[in-house]
Amino acid sequence: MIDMKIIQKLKIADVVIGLKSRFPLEKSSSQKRKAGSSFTHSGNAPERFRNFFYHGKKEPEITITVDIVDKLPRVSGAKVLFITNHFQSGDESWRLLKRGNEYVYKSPVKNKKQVMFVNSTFNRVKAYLMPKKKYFLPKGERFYVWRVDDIIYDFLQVLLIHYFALNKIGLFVHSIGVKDIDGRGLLFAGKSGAGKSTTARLWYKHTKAVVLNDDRVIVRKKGGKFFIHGSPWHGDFNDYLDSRIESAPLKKLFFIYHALENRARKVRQREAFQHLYPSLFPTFWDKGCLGNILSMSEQLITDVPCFRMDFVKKD
Amino acid sequence: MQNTTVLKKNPDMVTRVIDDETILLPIYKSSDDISCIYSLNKVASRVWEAIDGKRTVAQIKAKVLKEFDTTPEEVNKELGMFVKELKEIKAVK
Repeated sequence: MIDMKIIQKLKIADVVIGLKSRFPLEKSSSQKRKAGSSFTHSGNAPERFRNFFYHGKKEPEITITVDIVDKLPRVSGAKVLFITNHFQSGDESWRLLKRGNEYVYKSPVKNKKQVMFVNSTFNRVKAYLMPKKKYFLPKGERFYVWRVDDIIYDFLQVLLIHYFALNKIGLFVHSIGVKDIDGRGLLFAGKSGAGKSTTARLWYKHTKAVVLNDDRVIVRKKGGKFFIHGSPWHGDFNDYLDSRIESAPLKKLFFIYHALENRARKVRQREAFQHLYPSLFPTFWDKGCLGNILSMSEQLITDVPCFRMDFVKKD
Repeated sequence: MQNTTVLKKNPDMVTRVIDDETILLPIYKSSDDISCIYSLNKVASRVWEAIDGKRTVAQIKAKVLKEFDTTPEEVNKELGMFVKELKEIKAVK
């Protein structure tokens, strides 16, 4: 068996993820023009992922080994745990299966067909991708390249949601994360259309605060305190690209809604949970992890002051 | 629903008590099924707590009558409706 080296590391919310493969990462077009070779180990990743590339010495907690195959391995005898369909088209986006102690993630999406075999602790993955591009060496031999975003979207998100929940170390929240000028973290949670990107734009335009993310923020508890971390998965607002790897201690949690008047009021735990729950990413495929997500949410709304914030939508 | 019926909780249901209110969360199998969470008031929370796969409906009714200021008619009606809802969301069988 070939001993594959890590060719790229990512760091998301302080978790280091190592990507291994015998195939090279595709290089960006600007890099291709400069160099003689067409391939690199820095990858042709969209801008939003690059800030999460990690070049430090910390060993990865999670390792993903990528293989590119002409035919994906067949998965038989596995039990379907959960299926996610696209919210508009209704087509299947991905499904999670279980076979013995092993989990299987499958995506049937055109141009993104993939199968990942994940161990029970969600920190070792064998990923099989279909080739998108093939290259021929002078002797006619062919080989493939791949891109970091083949892994990051959606698979890595599912993997990390489960990994954080399993180890009770963090939560994904559908929200905007802001670090104000005093370094305090503010979280604005809300459903799609509640005004998250608009709020992010307002913070960015009118203050010197740092917007960590306008769609998915990772909340982690360390040393008895909650912190917010940026993530590579964001919404419409892209202007904060250089800052979102930062984190901040969470001081206040707001639930945002469009309303006829601007106002904010403090809410008790019971109401806070009702507002927070729709913004979470529950692991419906695993009861234990789901219980951990609920416990962490409960701690979050107990430790951090929560407010309902209504604001008037203006064009 | 007969008084001798023994209700059993669905083990796939995740529950949490937050601020004296019980939250019921079903385990969904598809993103299309995800609807909402169920929050139970104080009386409903006590009924949920009393459903243990051993107590009969009559015993649960007696418990509610003892703990809350209500009438047997009201308990019959409310409990019947509540159990019907729990069955609809597959929280009990």
